[in-house]
Amino acid sequence: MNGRNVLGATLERYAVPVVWLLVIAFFALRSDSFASTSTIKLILSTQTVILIATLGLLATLAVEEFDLSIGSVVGFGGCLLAVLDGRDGWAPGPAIVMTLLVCAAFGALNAVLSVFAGVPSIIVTLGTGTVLAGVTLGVTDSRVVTGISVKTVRFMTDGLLFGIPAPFYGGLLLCLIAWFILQHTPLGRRMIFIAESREVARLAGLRVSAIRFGAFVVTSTLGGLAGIVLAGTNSAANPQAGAYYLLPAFAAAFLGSTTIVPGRFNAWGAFVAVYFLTTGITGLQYLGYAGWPEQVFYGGSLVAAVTLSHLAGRRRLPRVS
Amino acid sequence: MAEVVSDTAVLELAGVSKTFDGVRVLHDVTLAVRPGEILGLIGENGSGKSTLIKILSGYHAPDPDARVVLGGRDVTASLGAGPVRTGMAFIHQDLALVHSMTVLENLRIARFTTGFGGRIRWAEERRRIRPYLDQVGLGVHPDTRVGDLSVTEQALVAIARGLADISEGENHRLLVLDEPTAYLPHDGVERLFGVLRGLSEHGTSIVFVSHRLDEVRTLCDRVVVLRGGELVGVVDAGDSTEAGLLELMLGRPSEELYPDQATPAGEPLLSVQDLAGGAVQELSFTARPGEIVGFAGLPGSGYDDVPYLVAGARPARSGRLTLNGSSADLATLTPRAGIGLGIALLPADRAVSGCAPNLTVTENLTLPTLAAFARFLVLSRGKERRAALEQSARFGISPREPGLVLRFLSGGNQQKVLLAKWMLGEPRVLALHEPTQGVDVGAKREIFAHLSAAAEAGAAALISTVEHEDLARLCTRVHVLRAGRCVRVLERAQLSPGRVAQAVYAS
Repeated sequence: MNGRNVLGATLERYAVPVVWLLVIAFFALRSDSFASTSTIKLILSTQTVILIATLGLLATLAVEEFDLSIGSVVGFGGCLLAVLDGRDGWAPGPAIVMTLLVCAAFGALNAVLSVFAGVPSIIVTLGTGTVLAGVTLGVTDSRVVTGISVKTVRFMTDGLLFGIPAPFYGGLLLCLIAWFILQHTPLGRRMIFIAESREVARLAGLRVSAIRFGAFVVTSTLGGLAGIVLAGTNSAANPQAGAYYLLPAFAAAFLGSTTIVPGRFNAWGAFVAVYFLTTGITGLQYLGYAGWPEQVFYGGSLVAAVTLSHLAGRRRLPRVS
Repeated sequence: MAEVVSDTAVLELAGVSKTFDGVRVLHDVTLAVRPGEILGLIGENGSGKSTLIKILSGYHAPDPDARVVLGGRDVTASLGAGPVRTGMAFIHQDLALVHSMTVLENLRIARFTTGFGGRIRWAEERRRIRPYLDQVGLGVHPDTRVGDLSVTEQALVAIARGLADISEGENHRLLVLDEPTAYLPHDGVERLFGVLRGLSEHGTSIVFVSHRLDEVRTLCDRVVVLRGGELVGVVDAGDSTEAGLLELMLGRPSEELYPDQATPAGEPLLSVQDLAGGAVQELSFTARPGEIVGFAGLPGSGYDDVPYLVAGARPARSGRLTLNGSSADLATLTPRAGIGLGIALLPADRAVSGCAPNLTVTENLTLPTLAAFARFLVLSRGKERRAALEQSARFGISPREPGLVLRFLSGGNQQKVLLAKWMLGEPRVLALHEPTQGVDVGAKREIFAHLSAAAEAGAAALISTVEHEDLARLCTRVHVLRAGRCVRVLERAQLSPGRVAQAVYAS
């Protein structure tokens, strides 16, 4: 590689973090209250749900599958926890474990339909996600469920370190695990090959079906975990909440794939993307723009990220079938 | 009708040549197709057959000074600009039918007559295609899905579409069939020939491109032979012999076959019994350590299915494989289990099944043996890189830069990477399909050297290829397949390119 290439590659790797710093600087200049520890705390503690959902999504995206049910799983996970813990009086521990198990089972259902029945995952999860959203409304009678144990709520909201609550550090730990698996284990490498060419992977003796199956289960389980954090943080679960998490998770995952390890879905890229998008939205809210920035930011960055990486020749456009 | 047909040729070619990048692949071909005649066109791979067909279909323009007259009209100027649609239709080997659509839709897709509001007049359409289905003797309902028909019936649908495509006002009809029998069963070939003879009796001229000398002799009136881009003979099919046609095709007298040698003694490393799958009907063979076993045949004979079936890449219908004492059912063998037994597969379709062109040389190299590069779950990049550099040196992969994305390498170097990738796992059996396709001469020599070296080290290799010369040079033994069965086994002492070709083309 010559010097120009090295420079170009470095620029590509760190473009999003650099823009992120510029955005922070811009808002800090424009708004007096933006650059404060309370803002940083707010940003770091409220976006854990999206971070966990995005990390979950990486599992399926890394093997070139699309899980559109992620939003519904987040909403369902929160509501199931609230119903078990708040309404039916389960102890917090068993309620959380049960919620995760049910979400994992839902992921297994997606996997059976996509991997073994061979239906394109984008269609399967569009359908199952919609069904799950309906089930969520049914289970909760379409009402917000309250009464989650104080223990759970306090764990989710009390500051653990530097006044930032535990879920953020949990998300950080998950990032570390995802980074390790995707970039430093044979499994991560095999997932890349499955995404690039399922036939090459199969002929090289990889357990392609098992890995794809596992990816769906991981996505839904982490979706459920994100839902638990959401319900715990709010001490209540809104059956409609899931709809707000589908697009942010996809936007962050795709934007993340253009940075840190450009061209591949990667954990730290996703981390940077989640907080970059949040910073932009929070900043605009500080300047007095409310309501519209969220959708414009998430939708715009999803399209921009996919377009840019496609134009850079980094990624073929996703296959639907 | 035969009696009203005029004496002038339907198609006349005069001085047709074609040069690609300074290489002349077709040289001064002059030829006339008579009305109602069935003209055979034969030649080896690379004889210029496909180029000639592509010029006729309007895909390539011929070199200047050529003249092509179709039905009395000079169409030379319009060649190379797309399909020529004046009284001529092409039926290619793959038939180009849409299986999920009906016979009617396949015949009329581009030219539906519509009524009020753009509605397709289905009843009228059905009436319109009936005569064409009758001409090819197809009794099926026009609303039958093409995918539900037999292969033979599908071929007839393609011919009916060809007839329907020839505009009705033309005073001549010419059908060009390119290897139409490759995938047809025996009785299907007879049915097809009956239909073609019927069409020719009613004045349709037919150009029949084939590899099968027996079929050409049975069906055709005259046979045109191409060799090395030149027309080397036009023979009356009635007076021809298979040996004579073969000699014209290969440019040398066909060699007498020596009696089959007794196979040398020794325990086989690999033994495959009663294999059936793909186009293979029944095949058994063995390979001892150090042997390179070749498979040859015409398209559709099943010779090219063998590597995939043996490696578990495609499920066989039945068959048993014994390798070094372990046994496996080929109907349930997976690639993973095949690799576990020590079988490595190098497929012909490099870009799709062979490698991941967007990943690096190292990543492609270490894929099947990844576990060996991990310690306590952690992949060692250093260990991977060392192995990649070592393999690059050993296999002469250039550039020696394992971090490079594979697609930036030449075809020959990509193939060397894939060979090196499998050799990392020290396979007992190498199954290869067209191992030197799209590979330059230098790389080809190196790939062969590595194959021989692997064989000398005690592995066995299976090679399916159309390169008869390679088979003759490399193999211990060559199995020649026809209609899914082995019809001849050529041992080392009998191997020459000509003998392989003879066994492949002659029945």
